Amino acid sequence: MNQHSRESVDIVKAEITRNALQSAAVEMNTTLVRSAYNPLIFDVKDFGVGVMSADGDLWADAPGLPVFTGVLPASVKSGLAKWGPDGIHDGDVFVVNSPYLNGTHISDTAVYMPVFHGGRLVAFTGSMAHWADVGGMSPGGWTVNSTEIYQEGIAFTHQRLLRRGEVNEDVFDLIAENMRVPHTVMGDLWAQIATARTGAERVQQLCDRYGADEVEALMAHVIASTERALRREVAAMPDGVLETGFRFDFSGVDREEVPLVRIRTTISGDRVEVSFEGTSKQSSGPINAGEQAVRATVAEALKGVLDPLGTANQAHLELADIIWPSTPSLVNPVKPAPCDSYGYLMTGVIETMQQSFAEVAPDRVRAGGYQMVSTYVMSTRGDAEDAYVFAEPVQGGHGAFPGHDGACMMFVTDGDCSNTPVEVLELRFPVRCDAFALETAHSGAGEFRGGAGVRRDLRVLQTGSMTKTASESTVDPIALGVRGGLTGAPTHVELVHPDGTLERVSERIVDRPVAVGTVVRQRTGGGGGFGAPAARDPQRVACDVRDERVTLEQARDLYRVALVPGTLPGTWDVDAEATAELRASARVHSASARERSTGI
Amino acid sequence: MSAPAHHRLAVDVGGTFIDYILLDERDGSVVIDKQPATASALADEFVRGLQRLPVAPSELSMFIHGTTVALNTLVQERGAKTALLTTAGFRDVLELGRAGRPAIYDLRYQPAEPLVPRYLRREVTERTAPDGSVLIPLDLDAVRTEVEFLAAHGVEAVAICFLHSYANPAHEAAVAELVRTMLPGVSVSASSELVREWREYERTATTVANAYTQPLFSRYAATIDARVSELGYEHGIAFMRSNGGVMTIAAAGGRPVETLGSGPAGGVIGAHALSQRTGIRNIVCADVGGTTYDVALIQDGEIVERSHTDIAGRPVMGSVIDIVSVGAGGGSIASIDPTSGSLRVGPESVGASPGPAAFGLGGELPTVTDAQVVLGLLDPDRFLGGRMKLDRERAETALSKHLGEHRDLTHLAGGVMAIAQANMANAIRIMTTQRGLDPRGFAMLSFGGGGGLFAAGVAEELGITSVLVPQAAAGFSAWGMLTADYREDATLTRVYDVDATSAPDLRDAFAGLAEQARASLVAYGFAPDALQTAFSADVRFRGQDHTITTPVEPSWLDGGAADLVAHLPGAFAARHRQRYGHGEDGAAVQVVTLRCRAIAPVTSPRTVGVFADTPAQPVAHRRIWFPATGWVEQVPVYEREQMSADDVLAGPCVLDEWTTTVIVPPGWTAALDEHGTAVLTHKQDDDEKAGA
Repeated sequence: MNQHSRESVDIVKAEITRNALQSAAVEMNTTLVRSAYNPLIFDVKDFGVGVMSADGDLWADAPGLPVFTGVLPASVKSGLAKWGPDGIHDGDVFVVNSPYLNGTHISDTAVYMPVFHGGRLVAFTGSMAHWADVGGMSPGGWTVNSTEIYQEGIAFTHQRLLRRGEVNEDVFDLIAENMRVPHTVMGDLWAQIATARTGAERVQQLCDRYGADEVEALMAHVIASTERALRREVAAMPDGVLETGFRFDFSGVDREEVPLVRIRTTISGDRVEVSFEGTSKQSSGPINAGEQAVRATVAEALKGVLDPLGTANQAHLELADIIWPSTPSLVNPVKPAPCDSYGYLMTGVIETMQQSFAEVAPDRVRAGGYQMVSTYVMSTRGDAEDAYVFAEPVQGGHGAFPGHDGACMMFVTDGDCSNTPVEVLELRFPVRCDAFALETAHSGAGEFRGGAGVRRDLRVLQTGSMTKTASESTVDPIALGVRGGLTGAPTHVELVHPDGTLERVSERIVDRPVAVGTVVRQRTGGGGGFGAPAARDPQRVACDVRDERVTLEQARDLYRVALVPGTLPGTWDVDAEATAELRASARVHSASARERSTGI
Repeated sequence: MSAPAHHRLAVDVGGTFIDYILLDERDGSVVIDKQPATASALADEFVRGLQRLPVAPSELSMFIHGTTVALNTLVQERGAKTALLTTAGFRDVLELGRAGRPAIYDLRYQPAEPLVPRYLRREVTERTAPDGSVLIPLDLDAVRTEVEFLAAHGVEAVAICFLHSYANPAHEAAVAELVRTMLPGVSVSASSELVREWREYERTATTVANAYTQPLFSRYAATIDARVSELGYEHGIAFMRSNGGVMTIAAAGGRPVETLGSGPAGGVIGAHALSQRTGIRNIVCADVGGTTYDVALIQDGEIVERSHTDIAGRPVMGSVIDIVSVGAGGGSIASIDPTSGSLRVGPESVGASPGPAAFGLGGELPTVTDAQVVLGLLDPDRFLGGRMKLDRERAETALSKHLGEHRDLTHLAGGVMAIAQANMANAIRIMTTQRGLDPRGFAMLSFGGGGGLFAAGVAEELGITSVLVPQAAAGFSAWGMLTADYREDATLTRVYDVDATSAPDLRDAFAGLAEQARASLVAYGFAPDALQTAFSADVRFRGQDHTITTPVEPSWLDGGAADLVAHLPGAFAARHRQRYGHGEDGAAVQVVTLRCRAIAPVTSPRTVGVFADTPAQPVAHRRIWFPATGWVEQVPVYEREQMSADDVLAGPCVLDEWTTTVIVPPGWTAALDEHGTAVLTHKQDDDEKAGA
């Protein structure tokens, strides 16, 4: 990374520089949230921002989606490779969303600009955000059954939105012409341009103060120091090989194709090697994830284990040595492989990988969390009375860890992603929410229980509406328990039709028409448990039953606690003697308890 | 009637001390006192301190009380056994929250625990639509059953929050009435009585926080009221609110949630009073304590507010002075951060005990105060007017031992100061540049114990050329409380297009809010014609979500509706451009939330400067290090009370007061204004301007 010695660097200026760049990133974040038109950006915060060096190395990030921050530097590097430093000019603004360049899916569009100081390229600033639409066969993106990238939307590969500060009308025109909701997309596009400009101004001010050369040297020192600190953390862990992975339900298009991802992490001294060898070949369905997104996901998992609270820089992104399968696979697909549902792979990798560290770093990780899930309710046909797309990833449960039940209502593994309030969504969209509650049945039981899933019931109010759901890992859940804790139950959806019939669907639903009065009931996955359920404090189990988190039957059969009605209505007391008996027999059971097996 | 009362008293109850500030309205003179505070015997200690004052309560014209009782109850989670009644299907809203979290990489992130356990969150059959129409009528019989359940469990407080109650509070009102009838003596908080804004989680959390703190708070308030009346005080106690106003004891007892953010409010309203007195309309207010640096803004003569805040991981809705707080102060710890290989300062602090190494009380870690001792900015022999002796050697040892013995001590100490001041400047940038405001258009008011030490340095970093340090800077917050006005806010969330069709409805809605806000103040006994009313609206472009609060001139609401349509969209678009750099003038805009505040102004106390008749002479000289010049030998030190009205002291020099030291760096001058406020001015030469 660099050879600056510790002593040649001014530690005071290093701190001020590091802080100034981080403040710049936070300010970019604020600019995007406050000026965007798309609820996926301003409410859900499905975006990331970054400040990068002239070589595209990450200098600073801000709360958003870690995977986006993780791939932005790679996006910039591919732009540099495409145009060359001489092809990039002051005032240019670029757009890129190709999964083969960014790694994420085509809806996630990066807008970035070079920062010049004294006529020299010194940095890049930019953001990646989920657009409301990018054309393609499925409104709002996240195609669940595409077979090639061309069906997923219009691809940008570092085209210039602005050329030396002048608006490139042709590109704007082309974008507006290809989107179902051009007003929203163009509003967001300008918000992203404003975001990059905000960051650029701050970088320029910093260079005014210290000079561009010194800023570069100071940040090289910061990144080198981070790498040393991370490697010390790795070295402190016992050497070992951690094997994990997960199997998909299916590819999205071919019922017979049930691909799997293998992850083998080798800790050796201060090195971490992550191998994906043995992962299934590139899929015919859109569950592939671009190499850069997988790289960012590995970085995110390692940062969560080694340095969970600090901000990220290039050292976090480059820590692991990654071994890729030698031929195109789920984790390194090539054009025109479909990639629109890449998020399952990403979530599966990070959840199973962090959980696998329980063997070497039990005090740093937790049991597995739920697989990501999104639900769409929308009306986009030409004859719709009022076209709308309500699309939102729905939160679920995190895994437990010693001393704590898992958190509920979390957005996949990481990220500062909020939900849309019921009162806001009911005013904005022709849907009504009948319930928004904990799905307690999805928690993985344990001495410390996995977080609950989320129930949200949406009633369709407008004719010509349809629904789409994006769920995965329902056969082989990724919310793995640790040390006897049970695995969290996966997501499913229930459609309650106007005639009262109930249809339970575990798999993805593709753009299916729904009549007015239909209720789309989401039931998202819960987190895995930590420790055997029969080891849970009986008093806590009594409270769990009182609070309707655990049923009386579960208390008896799973947690091995006998309860009798308490003096106050709805409360329960522990029958200590009967509980002791139940627990004595439980020890016999646990010897033969089924351990989760992925068959990997 | 007794003899005319001429004294105002402010009593500020904090976590460890009760502060008293007594002001004589006739000459502006103040008396300050302190009393230790312990939660168990707060009322007794309150009275003990009161009885020590030179003026009896019967001689007070006004009694303002700032208290963190509700805040501490919430933060320490020792509130009432609280229940929550919700719309059927939504009892878990309180636990689910909104899912956002800034610690994006933290695998073990845990949100704050809900203050109401699940079995005490009971659902009620009812449903209101976003437009306020009733979809499912309220089932009062079912409510009775739930209330009986809660009675059996002995709950002390009940919160009520139904979906879309901001649009139609009828169901909440009916349930509140029923609960109050069935459970006399139990505190009842209905969301629509507190906030009429949308976002169900935030509104529910606010209502629960109110219910949770109410029993303890209202008992405390009633006790204080009774004790003070016994001592002869004849008027109502005024309680400080988060929005910088005050409210009566009756209002405070029912809405303790509105006191949660009142702690740092005093200094900011003092700054507002100073703005009115001096005519300086744009002020950055910096409250410099030992552990935190709190920044607020006076813009165009008005305190900048926000409509929600976050307390210990739980949101609270309602107007509150917008304050950004960073962990930077004299006690902030300096360390080498291995992850970044840089020198970090704060946010951790040594606190009062053991304190900085230089205090010699057992502290060994290097702090900002230690750096100031090393650099000569603090004189070991003159600290707190010589009441405390500082140990320079210990300060030096702490810095070199923990930050690198091979490094130059002066460079390290200068670095600690530079980073502390950069962190402070960043807090000010969050309030200014991040909102499209240029800090160079502001004056800085710096107060608190460290107010004079950092003021000029931070100002220089931001290009601010005028700095004010008030007399008795350490007691400025308490003084500010004495300038607070009575205030009531009314808000309403309802989405209106700003066009000719809906403008009459908008105008009527504003009029309704004004009526509501004014009625509360009239009920306190203020004359209707003494009240001032101000309006604003949260406005957005159609299709956007986030809004910008935009002032609405009363004249736009007079007569025809055309004025509102003509002015509001443009005023909003201009603010949007200022903040985000883009925003079309002709684009369709919507109003989402309407706001009104009514104020019953209280006469601002006079302040008088104390001046010497003859020019000040240095009382000492010392060696001080400044970033621009390095070490300067023989820097003159003046006693502030020896300055005359005509003195203009050129930097580098130091003004000493017993509670604070004011550093005047090279390039700055110091003088006193007519109120005795120290005014520091930076002379920028042409070279510097070109470089800025």
